[in-house]
Parts: sequence; C-alpha cells; structure tokens
Amino acid sequence: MSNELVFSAIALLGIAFIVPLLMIVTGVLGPRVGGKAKNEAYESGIQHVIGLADQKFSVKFYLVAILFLIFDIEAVFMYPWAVALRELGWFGFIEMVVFMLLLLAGLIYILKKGVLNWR
Amino acid sequence: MTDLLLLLPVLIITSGAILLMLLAAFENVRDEIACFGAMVIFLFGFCMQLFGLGQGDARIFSGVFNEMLVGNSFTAVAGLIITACGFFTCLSSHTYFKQNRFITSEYYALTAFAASGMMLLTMAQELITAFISLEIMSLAIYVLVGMHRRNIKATEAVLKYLMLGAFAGGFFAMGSALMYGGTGSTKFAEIAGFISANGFFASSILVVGAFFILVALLFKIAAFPFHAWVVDVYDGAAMPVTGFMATALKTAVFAVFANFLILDGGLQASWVEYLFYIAVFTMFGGNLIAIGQNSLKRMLAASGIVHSGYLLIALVAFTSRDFTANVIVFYLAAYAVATMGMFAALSYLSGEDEQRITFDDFRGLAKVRPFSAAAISIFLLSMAGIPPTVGFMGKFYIIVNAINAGQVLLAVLAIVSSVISMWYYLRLIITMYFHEARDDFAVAKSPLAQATTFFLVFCVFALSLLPVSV
Amino acid sequence: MEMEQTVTYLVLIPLMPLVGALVIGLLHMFTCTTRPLSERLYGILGVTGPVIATILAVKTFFELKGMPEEGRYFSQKVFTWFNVGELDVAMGFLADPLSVLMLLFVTFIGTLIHFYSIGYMAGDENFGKFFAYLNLFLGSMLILVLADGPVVMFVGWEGVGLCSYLLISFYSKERDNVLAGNKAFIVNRIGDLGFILGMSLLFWAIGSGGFDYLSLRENASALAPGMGLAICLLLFVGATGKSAQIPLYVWLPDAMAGPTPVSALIHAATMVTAGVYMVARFSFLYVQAPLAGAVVAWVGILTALLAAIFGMFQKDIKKVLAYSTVSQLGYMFAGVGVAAYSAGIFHVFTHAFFKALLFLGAGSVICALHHQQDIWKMGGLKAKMPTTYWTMLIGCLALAGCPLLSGFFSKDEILYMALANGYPGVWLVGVLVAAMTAYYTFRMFFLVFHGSARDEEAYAHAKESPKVMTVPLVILAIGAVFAGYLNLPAIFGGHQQVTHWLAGSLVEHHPHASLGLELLAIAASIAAFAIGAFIAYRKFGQGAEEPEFQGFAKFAYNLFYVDQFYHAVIVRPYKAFGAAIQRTLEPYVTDGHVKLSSLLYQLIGQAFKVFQVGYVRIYAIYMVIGLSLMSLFLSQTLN
Repeated sequence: MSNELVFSAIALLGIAFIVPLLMIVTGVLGPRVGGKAKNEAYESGIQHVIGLADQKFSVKFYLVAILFLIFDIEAVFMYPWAVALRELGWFGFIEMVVFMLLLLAGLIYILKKGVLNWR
Repeated sequence: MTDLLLLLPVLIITSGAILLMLLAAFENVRDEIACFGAMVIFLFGFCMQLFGLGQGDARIFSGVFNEMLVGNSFTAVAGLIITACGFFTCLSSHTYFKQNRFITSEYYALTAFAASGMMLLTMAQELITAFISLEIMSLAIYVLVGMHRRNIKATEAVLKYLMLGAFAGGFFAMGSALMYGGTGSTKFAEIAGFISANGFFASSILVVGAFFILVALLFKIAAFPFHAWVVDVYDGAAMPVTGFMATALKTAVFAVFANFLILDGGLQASWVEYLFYIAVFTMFGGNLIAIGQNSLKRMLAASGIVHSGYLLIALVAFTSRDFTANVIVFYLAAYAVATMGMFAALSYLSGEDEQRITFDDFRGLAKVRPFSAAAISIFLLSMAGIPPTVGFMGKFYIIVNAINAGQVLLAVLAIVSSVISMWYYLRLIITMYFHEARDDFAVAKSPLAQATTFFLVFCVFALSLLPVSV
Repeated sequence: MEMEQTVTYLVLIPLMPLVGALVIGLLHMFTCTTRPLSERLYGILGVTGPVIATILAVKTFFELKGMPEEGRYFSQKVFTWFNVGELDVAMGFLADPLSVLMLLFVTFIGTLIHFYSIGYMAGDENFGKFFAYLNLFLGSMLILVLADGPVVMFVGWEGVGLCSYLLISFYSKERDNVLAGNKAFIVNRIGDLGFILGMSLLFWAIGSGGFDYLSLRENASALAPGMGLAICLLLFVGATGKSAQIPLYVWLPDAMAGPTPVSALIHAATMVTAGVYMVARFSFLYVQAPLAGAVVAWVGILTALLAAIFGMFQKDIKKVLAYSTVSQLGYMFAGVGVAAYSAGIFHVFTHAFFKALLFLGAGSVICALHHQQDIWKMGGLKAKMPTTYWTMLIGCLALAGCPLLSGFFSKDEILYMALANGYPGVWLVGVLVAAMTAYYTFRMFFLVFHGSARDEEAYAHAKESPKVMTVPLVILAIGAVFAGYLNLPAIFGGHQQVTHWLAGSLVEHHPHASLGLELLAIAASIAAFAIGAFIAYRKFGQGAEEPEFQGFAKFAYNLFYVDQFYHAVIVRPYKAFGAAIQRTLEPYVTDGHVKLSSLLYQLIGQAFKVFQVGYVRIYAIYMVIGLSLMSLFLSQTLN
C-alpha cells in the first residue's frame, strides 16, 4: 500500500517537472514553418469570424449570468423540498421561509444597487 | 436553551451582516453609521459569546443540524477572539479610512460575513460544513483584500490569493470526497471511530484524503511549503484587513485544524512526525523571510508564519485534550492581541494612503509620539515573547506542553526560533528609539485606532494574568 | 477550608492604594507637562486609598477577633496565577493574627505619613508623582504582609524594593540621590537572591503539598535538618538585605537622600520591617533549625552594636535616626533569632510608632530650618517649636527605652527572652547597646532643641510647622506612649495580649524563667537607659561645640570605612573584571561569533527573499513540490 503512495508521489513530482519540460522541449525542438494559412485561427471551417476574438463584453452580462445562476439554483432547490413538504411539516416550511428571506434580502440589495438597471 | 445560547453569537453576527448589507444598499447611508453598526454587532456578539462561555460541551441542535456543529469552551473562546478581532478591526478601520478614501459601506458587512464564516468554522464537526464555512470566510476575505480597486498592489494581492486559495479549496473538496470514500462519513466523530477501529492506514483513500485536507489547512495558516502567498497578500491588503486576516482568520483555521486533527478526528498520532518537520520548517522559514523584509507589513506577515509554526508545535505535542486545546486558544489570543494592536497602531500611523510603511519611515517615532512608540514596542516584545507580556505566557505554555509531550527537541527549536525572531522585532524598536525623527507623523482626527491600541496594550498585560489549567 | 473563612474584601486592602497609585500616576503623567493639576486634588486622591485600607484593616481585625482562637484566619483566593507542574500559585491573601497586627500599624502609620506628606511636599513640582509612588509603596507593603504564600509575598517584596528605589532617588536632579537609590536597589537585589534561592529550596523540599503558608506549616516537619538550616539561612540573607542587617545594612543610611516622609515610611512602617516579618512568618522553619536562629540572633545584636557605635558620632539628624533604625532592627532580629517571635514583632510594632514620630519630627525641624540637617548647626529650637519639641521628647524617650514608654517594654521583652532562652551573650551586648542608644538619642535631642542657637539666621526664620504636619506628630506621640501597654508582661500586672494574639500564627515556646531573671533584665535595662541619658545630658545638655573627631571617633564617624571597604573589595574588582571582559573576551572571543552569525543570518534572509518572486504560478509550483515531497516522505515513514 505504501507502494501506491510512492507511485502517487512520483507521479505528482513527475507532473510538476515533466509538463513544463515537455512544453519547453517542444518549443525548442519542434520545426517552425510559418505561412499565412498556418497563422490563421481555425474556426471550424468558417472563414473570417465576424468581430474580434478577444472582444470585450460589458461586465453586466456576467453579473446577470451569475444572478440567474443563483436564483435558478434556488428554484432547483425548491423542487425536492416541495416533494417532501408533507413529511417535513411546519419545521420544513419555516426553514424554507428563512431561506427565501435570505434570498429576498439579497434581491433587495441587488435592486437597490441598481444591478438590474441596464444602462 | 444551551444549544441556542451556544449558537446565538453566530446568529447575531450573521443577521448583523445581512442587516449591514441591506444598509449598504441605501446610498444615503454614511459609512460611519455602518461602522458603528458593525461595532455594536460585534460587541453584542462578543457579550453573548462571553455569556455562553462555560455552558458545557454540546452538539448544537443535533437533530436539526445532524451533529454538524459543536459548542464547547474551546469554540467559545475562539469565538470570543474572532468577535473581539472584528470589533477592533472596525475601530481601527474607522480611523484608517479617514486617511485612505476608498471605502464603501459594504466593507463592514463583509467583515461581519467573514466573521460569521470563521465562527462556523470553529464549530464545524463535519467536512462539508467546514468546507462551506471556509468558503464563506474566504470569499468575504477575498473581496476585502481587493477593496482598493484602483490600487495595483491590492489587485495583485487579491488575484494571487484567489488563485491559490481556489487551489487550496480544491484540495479541501477533493480531500473531503476521498475521506468520505474511505470512511463512509464526513463527520469527524465517525471518521475518528473508523480510524480507531481499523487503523489509519487501512484505507489508502483515507490517507490521501486526509493528506489533501491537511494541505488545504496548512495553506490557510501559511505553513512552510504553502506560505508563499501570505507576504504578498498581506502587503497588498488594507491595514485593518491585514490585521483581521492575521488574527481572526488564523484563529478560525487553527480551531478547525485542531478539531479535525487532534480533538475529534483522531488523526494526530498518524501525523506527528510529519507535522514535526512542518513546524520546524515553518518557524525557521518564516524567520528567514522576515529578516529580509523592509516593509513592516511584510515583516509582520512573515512573523505570522513563524507564529503558525509555534502553534503547530502545540498540535504536534498533544498531551491531553483539554490542556492542548487551552494552550492553543491561549496562544491564539496572545498572538491576536499583539498583532491586532500592531495593526491598529499602523492603521493610524501609516498616514495618508499608507505612506509610512517601511522600517525607515518609522525612524524616530519615539521622539514625536512616545506613547505610540511605547505601545508598538510592547506589542513587539509580546510577539517576541518577553515577560511579563501575554506573548511570553503563550510561548511558555506551548513549550511546557511540548516538553510534557516529550517533544523536547521541538521545544528547544522553538526557543531558538524565538531568539532569532528578536532580530526583526528589535530592529523596529531600534529604528523608533535610536534615530532622529524626520517626519511629523501627522495622523487622522479619529481617535478610535489610538484607543484600540492603548486598550490592547492593557490587554497584553491583563491577559498574561489569565491562568491556563493543566 | 470552611466557607466562612473565605472573605472577599481582603484583596481590596492592597488594591486601594494600588488603584490610587495608578490613577494619580496616569493623571500626573498626562498633565504634568501641559497643565499641572492642583495639589489639593492629588492630596485627596493620595490619602483616599490608604484611609479605605485602614478602615478595612480595622474591620478585618475585629472580625478576626470575634473568631475562636483555634483556626483564626481569613483567606481569599483572587485567581490562579500560574500552575506549572506541582507549583500551583494563586493570587491569594491571608489574614491571620500576625498579618493583621502588621496590617493595622502599616495602614495606620502609612496613612498618617500620607497626610503629613501633603504638608511636607507642598510646592514640589512632582507632587503628583510623589503620591503615586507613596501609594504604590504602601500597596506593595500590604501585598507583602497579606500574602498567603512565599510567591505572592515576593511580589510585594520586590514592589517595596522598586518603590524604595523610586522614592530614595526622588530628587533625581542631584547625582548623589540617584546613586543612593541605585545603592539601595542593588544591595537589596543581593538579598533578594538569597530569598529566591531559599524559596526555591523550600519548594523543592516540601512545596509539593501546596505552596502557601498553611500547607507549608503542616508539611514543615518533613524537612530534613540540613535542608531546613540552608533554607532558613538563605531566607535570612534576603532579610538582611531588606531589613538592613550586617553585611547589607549600608544602603539604609544612604536612603536618607529621599524626602523625609519617605524615610519615615521606609524606617517605620514598611520595607525594613519586612525581613523581621518574614522570619516570624517562617517561625515554623526557624524553630526546627536552632542554629539558624542563633545566627540570626548574633547577626542582629552585632548589627545593633555596630549601628549604635555609628549613631553616636553622626552629625546629620537623619543619619542619626537611620543608624538608630538599623540598631533597633538588630534588636528585632535578636528577638526573632532567640525564638521570641512575638517579642520581635512587638518591637516592630512599637518601633513603628516612635520611629515614625521621630522622623516626622525631624522632618518638621528640617522644614523649619530650610533643609538644614546638620545637628551642629541647630540648637535652642525648644522655644520656637513647642509641639515638635514635646512630641520629639516622647519619641526620644521611647527610643531610648525610658521606663513606662512603649520602647522600654518591647526592648526589655527581647532582652529578657534572650536571657531566658539561653543567650546571655546576646543579652549582655543588648544591654550595652541600650545604654548607647540612650546616649546618641539624647545627644541628638539636646543638640537640636536645647542650648543656644548655633546658626542665628536660620534660627530667626524658624517657626512651628503647619497643622497637617503637627497633628500626625501628636497622634504618633500618643501611640509611642501607649503602644507598649498592649503587651504588658505579668510582672507589671499585664496579660501580654499581643503575645497571646500572635500565638495562632507563630510557633513559639514560652520559657518559665525565674522571677529573679526577669527582675535582673528589667533592672539592667533601666540602668542602661539612665546611664546613657545621663552622660548625654552632661555632655550636651547645656550646649556644646562641634568637636574635632580624633582616633576611634573619627573611625566611627567614617563608619569604619565599610563603604570604602566594600568599594575596594567588591565593587572595584567587579568593575575591573567587567572591564577586562569588555576589553579582552568581548571583542576577541564572543563578538566575532555573534556578529558573524548575525551577518550570516542576514545573508540567508536576503537569499530567502529570492524565493518570494511574486509570480502566482511559481507559488503554485511550490505547493505542488511541497505536496510531492510530503507524500514521498510519508511513504518513507510508513515502511
């Protein structure tokens, strides 16, 4: 069993050293052939994608995406709760109310901060 | 009733944090109000925690929480340290942000959120709870570190901390999964039961899992091979935030470390020899890093590594559950008092935009501000472990504990390390006292950080009188 | 320990002056440079603590008095101070008959001296600081007296030493005063070393059963004889430092450099009596080691003799009193040395009254003559200062051992016990010293108050001191007259209340000596007083001129050159040794290593900075490498 550990240790060490090593080695040893076609980005056969690849999006997209995730998960969480509500009884109900109130507090914060104002 | 009493401080801090967050949403609310609100919350939480001290050893609401949380004198004292640190952080922040204007009201809400995560962490008796509390704490701290968005150093610090913290968090999650795979449970008590029944090495999955969790915790306390982030992160964060991280965060992580490793997880015997080397390397590595630093914050960060090393000694040298736990919390309190005081003093002395930050900037402080210089000296001497300060008593108990456990070599190395640490502590004292002042050391109007500093000077001596029973 | 013997107010007794010291000290510290507060405020604050302490002391006394004689004590454990191995030390206080007796006069006289100081120190720029120190002094002494074990006693012991240093060098603008403070402190430290060693040995021998007086007393019988002797002698070394006995008495006369109320406090109520108290406290040890007792008795009585010789030739009024204190302390040690602990403590008690009285009276004289301390420049003050004159007369009579005053009864008790317990030599020297005491006391008295004025200008300006100074004098004079009647022996129709009172705290055997022996002792004491006083009257009663000291007198005036001897034999070689080390050992042997290692460390530290590259990916690599090494190491240890 300690052999396994030795192996894993060696493997980890190997990863730490070999991966950078390989990258350096390919960089040094590999042949470099330039050319217009070679330097172009490969975009699944589509030539000349519209716009720039590193185009900047407004941070609001990310914010909305994250908010969607949070409230989406909340909804997902409510399905199993709804199924088991009878067994959980009032205690389960109160628990969920507390949970919802916490989310409500978050929602109020978001609204007040104007995160949802698209301007 | 006992359960409620034990949980109440966490509830107070958490609901306070939510209230502060809602408060921050209203633009016309001034930052000062949020600051005083946070102080009130922390003070209230502290009082409640004090009230709950000595209320016995209980699994809090074991039915509802499925034995996830425990409350005992160990967690209560850790909670006291955390709430007190939160309170003093608010006090020194009030002064600090008079001179460094990048505050938003959320600052105090985040401090409270971080504190609630820390308090949960000290109570956690289960890996997933520990992970979630760890992340509650860490997320808030990440934001606090990067609060000064226009400052390139702060941004650098938060990036580093976030990346490496995620790395460590990954280890923790992976470790938890493996532990569960190995033992069939995530509860510390059941893991301990499994280990005592089958032996630690019965399952290699368990070994690797425990190993990963250890790595994550060692990362959070900045123990030797995982320490590299701490200097840069402390350097980039705002002064009060650094103080908060250095004290409260370390307390919380050490509490869960102690709970997991020796108090409830039953893992200690398997790791002693191992932690021995980590403790030694942490002490001496930290010292070596600290010696080379010119910035006070970086020096304090590195000295924090050294203190983690001393605390690791207590984990290695396990004598009896009660005594070792007492020694650990006593040392944490001792370290917290001095470090908190140091950062409170720096909060007002560093001036506009943290302009005074290197050793040289503090030349001749004693000539201009003799009381502040004396306070800083007392904190430094406490960290160095000179009697009659609390730092001395803390170190004394650590060493007594080590000797009782038969780890004499470790005790000797700890003493050697603390002699070496004089180098950088005394260096600041010499700079303050034996040079002529070139600066007028103008400070902000708010007296709260000064008040904190001098109150903590009192604590340095008062706490040293507290007994630790064997 | 039963519940009713635990009380909660004992801690307040030392705490009150200590809090006063803190408050006054902080007030003074923060206001002295900007806007000094009024002396009235400091005066009121300064006396509050001592007054409350006195009231509590009286309360303690009466409650204790109401208890049955067996097990008559109160104790209070404030908190566990530290707890290491077998050494379990609590911040605890104990009030038993012995400590309460000390408590009563320490608080009472300390309070009077505080009141007196308001008058004496008026106009001093450091008025606040003085009262802070004075309160601290009293608080430390109360800790010492009330401590329930050697460790807590040591806290007070050291506190008293520190305060004596602070107060002796109070007029710190003059170098000599600072040097006197240093001397007191250093000499005391030598004694403290003995105390620490004795205490450590005591713990090593019988400390495992609890390190407080009550437990120690129970376990004392387990002590091996040689060990007991060693402990007793080491503790006595501590006592010689604090209580100014041979060979460590040299600091006390120099301690006159401090303000006069401080001298009174050091000499009368606090500090110097600590050694006697300590020996009495450990009476259960000394009883087991008769040899140690003999050493104590002989050192004590020889100190008394030596100091009396010095006292006969001094010309500074405070030096005369200083040597009289050393001499009287010698008596006390003779008392406790011959196992007459209650007699020794009783002399401490009476001495506190008349010595405080004499010092405060001397302070009154010095104040009136604008800090003139030379008795050869005084004279004829009887007419100018009637209150001071009469009170000083009472003090002198008590000190000289005039029959019917307090000093007579207590001194006679010691001498009688020496005779009864089989120390005729000690008795003989004691009687001789008694005669010398009467001589130098009245020499001083006549020179100061009788005859004609030797310094006309100073005499013309002299006037009686203000009420705040004379009232304490009168109160102390009353005490000096009547304190002796508290322990009136049977032969005078008394019941020896103090001895009976102390019986619960001390281990003491009362010999049944013959009436003849007792009468002999009394007669010798009276004769000694009469002869000494008479000679003094003949020589100085009608005025005398300052003589040129010749021969022995010059030798004695210069204190047998003991200071110079110490300087030549101990201080100078010690300094030379230090200088030699500094010249040779330090640069060539030690400095090199130290500097090299520090340089090395700095280099290594700088080298280590290289690893803090600041790239987050490098840090992550560190983590992975560390993790790999750790797992490798783990697999190695498992095999």
